[in-house]
Amino acid sequence: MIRKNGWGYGYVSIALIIFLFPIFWVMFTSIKTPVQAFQIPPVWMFKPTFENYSIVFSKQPFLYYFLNSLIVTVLSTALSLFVGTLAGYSLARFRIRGQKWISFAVFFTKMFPPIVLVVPFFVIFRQFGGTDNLYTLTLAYTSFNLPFVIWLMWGFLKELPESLEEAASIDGASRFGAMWRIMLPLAKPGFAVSAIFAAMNSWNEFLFALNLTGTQAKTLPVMAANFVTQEAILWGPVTATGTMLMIPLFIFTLLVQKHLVKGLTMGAVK
Amino acid sequence: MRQNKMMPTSNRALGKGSILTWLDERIRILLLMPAFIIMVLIFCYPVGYTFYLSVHDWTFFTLTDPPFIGLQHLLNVFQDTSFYMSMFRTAMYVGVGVFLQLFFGFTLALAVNRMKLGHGMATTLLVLPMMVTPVVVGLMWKFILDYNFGIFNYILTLLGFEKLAILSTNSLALPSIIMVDTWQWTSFMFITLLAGLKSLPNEAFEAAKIDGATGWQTIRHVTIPLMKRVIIVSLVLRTAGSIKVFDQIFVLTGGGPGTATETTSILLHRKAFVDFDFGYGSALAIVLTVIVGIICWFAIRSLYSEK
Repeated sequence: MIRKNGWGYGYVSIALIIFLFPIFWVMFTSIKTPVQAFQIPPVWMFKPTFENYSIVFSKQPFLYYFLNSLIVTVLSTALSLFVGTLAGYSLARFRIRGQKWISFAVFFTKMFPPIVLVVPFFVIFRQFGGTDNLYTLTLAYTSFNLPFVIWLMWGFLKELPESLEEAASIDGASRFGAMWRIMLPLAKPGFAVSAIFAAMNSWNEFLFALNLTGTQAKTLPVMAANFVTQEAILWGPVTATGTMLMIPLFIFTLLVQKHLVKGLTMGAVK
Repeated sequence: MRQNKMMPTSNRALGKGSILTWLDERIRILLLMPAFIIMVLIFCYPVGYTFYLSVHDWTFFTLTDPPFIGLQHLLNVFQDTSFYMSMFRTAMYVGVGVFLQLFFGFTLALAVNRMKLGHGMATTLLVLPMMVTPVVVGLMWKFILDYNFGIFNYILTLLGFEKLAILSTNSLALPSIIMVDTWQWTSFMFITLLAGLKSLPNEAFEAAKIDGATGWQTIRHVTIPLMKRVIIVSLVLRTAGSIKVFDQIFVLTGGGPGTATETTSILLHRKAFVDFDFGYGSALAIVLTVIVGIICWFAIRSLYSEK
């Protein structure tokens, strides 16, 4: 079997090297000393150290920014999930006039380049002193999370059989009862997918955080970019920060891989 | 269109005239309301505000009382060569990048789909690049491509070539940010197309086999036609993602050297947040909105016609 697919295996192996080497290299460099990180030819044999990590922790309030990232991610994900599921349910279950326009609107907002929203957000938030604030940042993140959740939940709930809910209402359950007891448990995988993507997009977000925050509400991606200065780039701490941003996402990926594939391909397959 | 047969039955379950009946009759709107209100607040209002900004001369010095200047900013945008150049670069970035991602993603999906050994392992590992925070992707490649301390140039010297200042050479900067985008997002094409391949009916392939079709003929006449919808959806999603890109370019080159990698997103950011010309930035934002709207319209239409 392996011999028959020799070309395929070779191709995939080369791709794996190209895909994984940069990630490996960042993690590998992060456990060198700050001086070794700059050395060319690169040092391959060395005693692993966490010096770069301690530099990150001592030079930047890492935990504070980590908490900021976490708070904004959780708040925006929860808000989008709650509101988006209600809307997705309504769109999937009822005939609403102008459905084609609604689907265009949802699609358009999902595709919308966030750079367009940064300018008005900045000016509006400034007027009432709302820049550099975790709650306004949460609202800003919701502008891309909510359409995404509506889109996913709409697609997901459309696939669920309506007959189940009808059966429940014939049995005397109110619509709310049917929604709560029948549809919600069935929609769990849809929730999982939406939550994963909303959380990932918020965790990775950079553009809004860069322009709408100062020192108070700064998030981790902005902190990571701050290591790039005009004079010099401290590659040691940069790789350490990069590693700390990547690891949670990789663990997350391994845990939720099935849902991930489902969310990405929802609408694409079928 | 879906028939709604549920309303009468659930009405019967409730007492007439109760508050629950009232709620039940309006539930479709009530459920949509929160999302609608939030979207108006954080989407329609800011976009509308952008129009307002664009007809005023907002600079850092006129923040409190900007003078009205009409469509001047919009005219300026259309007379600005840096706008056209940025559109051209964005088109190159999106066109070449998404094409490469489709090509590599599709071939990888075909290869992995035929693998018996290590199928799951390869899939998991090949997905990793798209999970990396875009800013970190930028930093990662900035480190690897660095002139003095980067491993890429070290490998070049090992192979006997001259070192290249990739990110600060005009002709190399744009191709290199396209390559970085391809590195990260080939994963996406790979995983969606692999899921598509797995969902294909087996019969078609057996029939092709019986007819004695070669591997290439099977791909050309069976796989690709069956995958058409998956390919279109992936292309649409990737195109939208690619037009949005800001983070990696901002970190890698900041639009430089000069303006060699200044895509429309980067140009807009520079105008608004470096030059503090919010009026011009807003006018540019409106142009971008209209362009994305047109693309979405065509995308939705092609998606519906494929259904």
